[in-house]
Amino acid sequence: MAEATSWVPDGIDLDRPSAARLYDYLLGGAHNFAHDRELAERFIAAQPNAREIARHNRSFLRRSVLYMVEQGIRQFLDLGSGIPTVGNVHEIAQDADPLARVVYVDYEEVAFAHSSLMLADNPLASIVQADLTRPDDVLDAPVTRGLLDFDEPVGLIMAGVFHFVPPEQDPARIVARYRDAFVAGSLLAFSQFTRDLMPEEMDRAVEVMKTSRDPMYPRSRAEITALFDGFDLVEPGIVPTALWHPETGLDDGGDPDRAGIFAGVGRRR
Amino acid sequence: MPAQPVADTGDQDPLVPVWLRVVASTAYVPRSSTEVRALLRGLLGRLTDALAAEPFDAASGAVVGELMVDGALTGELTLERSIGVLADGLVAAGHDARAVVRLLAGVSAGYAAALRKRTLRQQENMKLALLTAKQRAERDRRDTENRFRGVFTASAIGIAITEPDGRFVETNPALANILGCAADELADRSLSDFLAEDDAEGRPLGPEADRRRLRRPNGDTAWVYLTTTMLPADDGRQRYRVTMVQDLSELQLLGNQLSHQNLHDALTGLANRLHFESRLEAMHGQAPPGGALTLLCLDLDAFSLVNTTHGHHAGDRLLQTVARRLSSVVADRAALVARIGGDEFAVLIAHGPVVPSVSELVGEFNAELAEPDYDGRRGLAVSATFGAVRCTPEEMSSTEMFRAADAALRHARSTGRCQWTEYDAHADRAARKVAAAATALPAAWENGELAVVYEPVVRLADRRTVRVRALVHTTSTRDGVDTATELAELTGLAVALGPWLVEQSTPGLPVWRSLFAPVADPGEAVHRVLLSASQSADADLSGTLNRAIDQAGVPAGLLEVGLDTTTVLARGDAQDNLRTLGDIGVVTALHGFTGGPREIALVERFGVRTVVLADPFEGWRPDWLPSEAVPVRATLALISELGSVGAAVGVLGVRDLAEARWWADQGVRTGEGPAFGGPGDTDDILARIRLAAN
Repeated sequence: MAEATSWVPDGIDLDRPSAARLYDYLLGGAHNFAHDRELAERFIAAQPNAREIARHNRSFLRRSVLYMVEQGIRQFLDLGSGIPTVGNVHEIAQDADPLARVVYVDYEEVAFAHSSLMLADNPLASIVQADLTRPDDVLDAPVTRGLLDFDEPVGLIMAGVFHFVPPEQDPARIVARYRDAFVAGSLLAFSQFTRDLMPEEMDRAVEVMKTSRDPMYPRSRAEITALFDGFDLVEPGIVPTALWHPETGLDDGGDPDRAGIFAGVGRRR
Repeated sequence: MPAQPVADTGDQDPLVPVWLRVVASTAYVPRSSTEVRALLRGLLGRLTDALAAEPFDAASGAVVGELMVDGALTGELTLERSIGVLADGLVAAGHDARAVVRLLAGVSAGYAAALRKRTLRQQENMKLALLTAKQRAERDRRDTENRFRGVFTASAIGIAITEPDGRFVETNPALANILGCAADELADRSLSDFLAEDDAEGRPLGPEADRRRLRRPNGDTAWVYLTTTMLPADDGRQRYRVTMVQDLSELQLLGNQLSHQNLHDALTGLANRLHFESRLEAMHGQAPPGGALTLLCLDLDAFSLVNTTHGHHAGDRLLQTVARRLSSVVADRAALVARIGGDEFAVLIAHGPVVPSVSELVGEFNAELAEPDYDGRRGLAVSATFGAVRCTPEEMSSTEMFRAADAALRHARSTGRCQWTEYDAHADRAARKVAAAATALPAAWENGELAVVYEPVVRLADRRTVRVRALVHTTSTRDGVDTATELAELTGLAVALGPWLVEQSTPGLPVWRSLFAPVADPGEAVHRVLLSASQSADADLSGTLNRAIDQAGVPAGLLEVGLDTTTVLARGDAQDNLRTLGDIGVVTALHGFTGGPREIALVERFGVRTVVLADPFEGWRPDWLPSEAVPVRATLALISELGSVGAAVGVLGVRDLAEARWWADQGVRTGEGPAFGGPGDTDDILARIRLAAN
């Protein structure tokens, strides 16, 4: 009954570019296809600073994970981990402590298959294929239950992913569900696109992303701060990525307001 | 790999911070600035060394280019800007400009080659990931397709998938049967071709069951129920129709036959079990208060022998004779005789004022049955085993009576042939518990009341948990968990339960690996499954295991599968399984091991990795037995024998730490049992291990 199947699996629509593969391309990776690169070039045309933005966001991820390790966190839940390029959470965390545990979450087939292959030999890191906007699916997955100790604080990472969650999905409810699953002292690292910093470029980028399978929803500083309900923001609060605990020599070049993304870390009360 | 920094001359080369600024503004390097600075200093050292070398060493340039790629200095503009600052800086430092140009050309070439290699590698990974995702999707699709196919072809309901105009696209065998056509005659025809003329008034078919009359090619007509629904195509438009056709005449015919057969046993004309139960209930209800009722259940001794030696005809004849004689014994009493099984009968007697003893009654029946029945040449007689219950209607309900008589019969049978037993509530209780649990098990399974629990497997040397054993637990009863599989063995459920246990428990493999791999000895499994006798000989075992391992996405060697030793000795298919387990790569084990020479030979021949001993001291504590006792000495010899053929020894049911220590001293590798907390669900086990770790 079925028509002849193409080489690419059902559910993997390579004709529709994906944000995960675009991000990989912006970071110099080769885990992407012609349509992703075409979209990336249009994104760069709309937002000439795109590569720098991607770099700063990735660098924020690294610094926030190291900060969490310093604060005693040894287990991480990375939501919307995407296609692993360089500097993944488990590499950063296990470099600091080989016994650190990491659960990645992504719903995209390719990201899941790719991460599974990469993590096949790593007993302390694993990936769950689930939609992060359905927290119960993520939290009840056997891998999550097995790798994370829910009685101990967890490092919750939502880096550069919530700008893909539309307002009608009620992002505050989603964050709150994750917050409630973990004990006090857990840390949340969060970053996402904003219109506050470069409104014209952002509007053009949103326009470009409308054609992808991952349209974007920038949020203001106030909206992002509201998502940290139940968390105490760590100094310096919600700031452009480059200004969050910058490292001398690496993050201090250029104009931080061109980072396009706000970032912050909060501690669960 | 980060480059090894060359010896720092002490003077910070002024080029390093300039280059670092270029790198930081063009590439994401997942390291601290100190590390990046050290990397750049090392690369710069290589370049200046190459320029200083006699003769000038151009090849070093390519190496530096490769190391830049390895260190992720690969932003869009990183190379161009790096070459810029390096050219200016090196020439300004007094190096020969031509040599600098040649060296930096080498850097570019090495960089380009390494970047190309990295890209190809990433694309290769991507392809592999896509392929894996594709295979997963394919497998899911195939499973769905197979399930659908099975239902479609096996269904007793006719199913037609048709074009919107009604032409058949696909039909199942049942439909061809109902329409009275060969399957290939249905091509290009439509259901309306089969509707009887007076029925074809154009009532459209819909999702409500619609009673219609069909005309078959041979002229017969048949009433059917038709139900039609639309199937959406990929583009969301409704493309196909699915019509279900239920043959009403067949249903009615079957219904009549069933109600007839429901009440009567065709061979003997006696009431059958179902009828007997309802009659028993009625007679029980009508008995006067305090009136005695006797229910006898009887089972012919060695009846199968009659069937096999004299043929089924003789057997049938004998059953008819037995039925007649039983009826004649109770002819002048208020009684009911029924055939409740192949060679099982039941007699219910409602007594009047005179109540004979049970033994007198049984004597009467036995005397009647012992009389040979001649079919011309041959005389056949049988004896029977009886179970009896006598009570007043106030004492027991009708169902309790039936169950009690049946229990008494089973008890009588266990003591030999030609016996009788009167129901004894005390003796029954123990047997009843096992039987109730065994028969409740299939229902529990259907209702999803079975769960997987895990028993910690502990390395006795340091008493750390290094593995878990998956067990079936019934949530409906409070019985010991280990008995579920044994009970299943009694009902035939075990064969299905084995794959279920494997499928339910193996998704946890990555979890156990993360817990135990850091503490377990290399090459050891983290997850144990011990299979029962019938599971050990299951022909689909390797398929089940392959699928489970594949889905868990972990190496097969993390799983340990133990087969039942007696079964492996006795059955070739179980030996095949043992061999295949080794081929798949799972850790092979034998359990229920008693240590006979043939058993040890098995271990050596199949390279069995783990041997789980059957309780060698029959429940005695080994640490309380004198060390010179023969069973102790024999067991120690066995353990050392097994060690010499490379098998690790495990024990079950370890009571406490003293016993654990004893086994550890004898060289036993692993233990399970109450000493280590006994079974629990995943969360329990995780909590316990974390508790122990803190």
